[in-house]
Amino acid sequence: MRLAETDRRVYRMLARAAVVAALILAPWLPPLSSQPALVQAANLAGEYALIAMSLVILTGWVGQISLGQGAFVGIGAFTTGLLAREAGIPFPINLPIVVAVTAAVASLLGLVALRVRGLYLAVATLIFAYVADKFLFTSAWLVGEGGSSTIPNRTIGRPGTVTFFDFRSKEVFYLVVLAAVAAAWYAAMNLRESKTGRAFFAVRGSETAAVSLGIDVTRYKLLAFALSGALAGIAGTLMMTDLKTATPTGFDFTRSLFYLGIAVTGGIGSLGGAIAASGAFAFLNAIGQIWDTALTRAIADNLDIVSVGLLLLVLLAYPGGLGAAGAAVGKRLRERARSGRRESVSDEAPSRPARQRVPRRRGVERRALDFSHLESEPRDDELSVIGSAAAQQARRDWRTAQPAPLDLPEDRSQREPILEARNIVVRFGGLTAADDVTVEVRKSEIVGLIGPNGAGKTTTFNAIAGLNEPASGTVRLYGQDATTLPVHVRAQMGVGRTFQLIQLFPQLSVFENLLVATHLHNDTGVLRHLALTDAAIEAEREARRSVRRIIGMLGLEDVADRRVAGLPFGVLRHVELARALVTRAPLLMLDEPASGLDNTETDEFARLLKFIRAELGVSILLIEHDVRMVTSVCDYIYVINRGAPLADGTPSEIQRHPDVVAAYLGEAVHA
Amino acid sequence: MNDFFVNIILTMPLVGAYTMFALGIVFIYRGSKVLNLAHGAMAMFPAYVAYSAAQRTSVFVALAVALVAGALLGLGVERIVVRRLRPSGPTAQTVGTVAVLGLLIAIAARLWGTTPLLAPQIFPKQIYQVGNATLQLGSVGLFAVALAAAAAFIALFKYTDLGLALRASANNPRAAGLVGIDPEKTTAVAWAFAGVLAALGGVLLAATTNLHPYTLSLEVLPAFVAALLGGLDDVKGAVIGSIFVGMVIGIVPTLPVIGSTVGIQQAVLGLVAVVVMGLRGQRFSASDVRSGL
Repeated sequence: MRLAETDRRVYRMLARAAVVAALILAPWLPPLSSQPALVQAANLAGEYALIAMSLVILTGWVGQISLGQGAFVGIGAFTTGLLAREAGIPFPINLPIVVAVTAAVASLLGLVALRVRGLYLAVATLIFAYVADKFLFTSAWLVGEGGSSTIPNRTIGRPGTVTFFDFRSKEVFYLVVLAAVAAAWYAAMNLRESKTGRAFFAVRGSETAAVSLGIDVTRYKLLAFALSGALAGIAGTLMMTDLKTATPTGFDFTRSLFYLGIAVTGGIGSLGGAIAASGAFAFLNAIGQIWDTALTRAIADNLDIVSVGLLLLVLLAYPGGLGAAGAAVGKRLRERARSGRRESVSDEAPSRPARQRVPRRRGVERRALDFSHLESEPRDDELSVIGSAAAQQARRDWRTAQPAPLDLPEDRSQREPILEARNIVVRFGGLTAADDVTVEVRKSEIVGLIGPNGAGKTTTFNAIAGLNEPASGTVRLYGQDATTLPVHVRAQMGVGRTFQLIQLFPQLSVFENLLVATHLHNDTGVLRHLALTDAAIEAEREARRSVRRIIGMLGLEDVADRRVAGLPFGVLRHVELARALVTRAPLLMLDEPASGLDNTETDEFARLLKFIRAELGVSILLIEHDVRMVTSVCDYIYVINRGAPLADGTPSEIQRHPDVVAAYLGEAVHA
Repeated sequence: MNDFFVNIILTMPLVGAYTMFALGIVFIYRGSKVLNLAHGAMAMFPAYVAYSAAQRTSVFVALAVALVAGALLGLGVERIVVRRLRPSGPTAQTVGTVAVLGLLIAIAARLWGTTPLLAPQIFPKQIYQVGNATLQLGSVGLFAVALAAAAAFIALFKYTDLGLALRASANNPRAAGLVGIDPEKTTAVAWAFAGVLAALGGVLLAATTNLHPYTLSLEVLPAFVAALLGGLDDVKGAVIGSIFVGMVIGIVPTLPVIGSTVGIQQAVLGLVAVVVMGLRGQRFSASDVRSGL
């Protein structure tokens, strides 16, 4: 569900009020059920739900397949036992320790994920579960003597009062489990609509694009493992406190597979689906004890086949899982609700300015363009408003408007240097792909880097972007040495880029794709996102505002809510450019932006480049094949051939240059 | 002869079984970019089939029946589960094989019970004295058969048109299709081969231990380590990885101090796997990145 910002405070208030009310009312609530089996099944469902949610975050959102989630649960459970046995620390005081331990162990496994991806990572997590099962859970120091861990029952408060908690009672424990699931669900929902959640989706979609937007992939992968491990650990400590005893067989690797099965049945990316599937499997488990009929007895007797059959059925018949089924219904309801809501949107409430903080990396100054002049304060409601006729008219349309006159000093050396890549040499083994190439971009220039196929354009470009390391030479950005800085730090310094093979996040809408690019200008951290603090809401509001400015500027309103997958190629080029603009980087690097475009589209794109340069004062470096486009749009051109610089100069100089003509037409240079 | 060598010799059947399992895992990974978690069950089930068949006919016919069952199982899993889940992505496919694992174990438990059974012996019941340990002829036979099977499959992969087609369609199914290779057919062939190898490994391994739906299915786990050590898509790597894994399992318990710890073999294997992945990470990820995982 996409919540507009004004709704978010109301939503938060309601959610918090519900939790407080539940806590106050809990002791007076009627018992859940007179059947202990049903209560126990409900507890189990809650524990499964926490584990399934941990998989939704890790596998569904960040794309890291985990076949070892049961091991985290086991570590949580046995740590609970260890703490009770050795230090007398009971639930719930042990939670911070259990969470810290499981998050730390999961982060260690996350370190592996930095090196391997996809199914290789899946095998690594499988091996982790196998080692945990055979080695860790057989160790006496962790599990205790005799191969099973038990904890004494603890009570909180004085008997006879309403604040008395006796965890032996399944009824009481049911409330604890419910509170844990509610809190986890609330936090995860908040996370999904935050900077952190978007960074997760970006890592899943394309790591290359993610780093180019300033997202530190290492950090977010480890964070995902830590969060996921923490959730699974909480589930483990709840299981232990619930059952008072744990044996290694409860956490072997087949359990890990079972948990993944639950998450997939729910539709691996869906929180609601995860909870629904957890309920289904937990109640299936207890169905024979809850109702005693011939059918339920048959199910109970063949539980293994029924569970597996259910999993296969959902996988084959409904690949999106229960979550997709629910989402389809929800969408229909929301559309009905939205048609009534549109008129009632109020003007935005006065807001506090977003908190300013020093840049994360010392010595790196964050550079960003100021977009505040672009539009009078946009209204803080649904996107459709900026698509309204009035807003359309108020905006300067790049398709028709003449670009504003540009104040570019005639003498190039008078222009402030933005990018200076000097004497770049890149070698791949014995091959020197770029030999002593120098490229400079100065303020508000559009600079072209051209050359025939295999000339070393992309190699040079990647050295500037930080994707390969030059053997020698320096890259300076805004006067600072950036030669060895990682890609995401360069992005932070103010470099935005697009890719020859478009690297948008296909599962996200255009609007969401652009939102990912606000990453660098959002200083709120993951804890604020989880708790949905005022700062997080304000940062989210600001992010949406800056995306709407760019959407308005490029005229992308019509496609803003469409998913990227399925949009025409020409539109995707514009969206990718828009995403680079949202980073507010003063320097844009475009890798063959005209490839795949026809002549009309290329002219249109060139016009757009001139327009954004005039409006925003960005500097642009573009690699291009299309000489016609480069000469029409660039102020200065570098030509390279066979890895070495061939010529540089203004478009008219380059067009007359004999070596360039020779290189492009294939004549002998010195006949 | 000292304990060290005795232990290495005693791991021969394990090395043999892991080799056959790891080869199957690699074939399937190359054939359809899927991690077949049902592989253990695809070894266990035919072993039970051989058990039932051996009660009616000779062991060799029973073995043949089991191999056919293994091939059919491989084809069935590919056709019914893995291929249909392809649009849902590798996570769903992997979970699909998990479901197959659960289903096969459950069915085997219904048909044959969960009491360990004595599996049919392919090789005569002969025992050799090695140092102060005993070695069954079946164990040596398992090792020999595994080596022969591995050699045969590597040769097939490398020198025949079918092997070339397999490699081509694993690398780039669309391009393979353009030059006239039917990628669906080659994928099916890869699964059938993997099924035969799994069945062979299952029958022979069960003969040296015994038949149990759950235990036998999980015997395949070290083969995943072996396949990963070899690179997951590398046939020769899988063989070397299996030998390495077998050695670790054999040698580690003889080491001083740590040797007597329960589960130390798995811990060492896990550690080795992590180190190898750390050192060779980029090479591992290359093919996955290309296939868009």
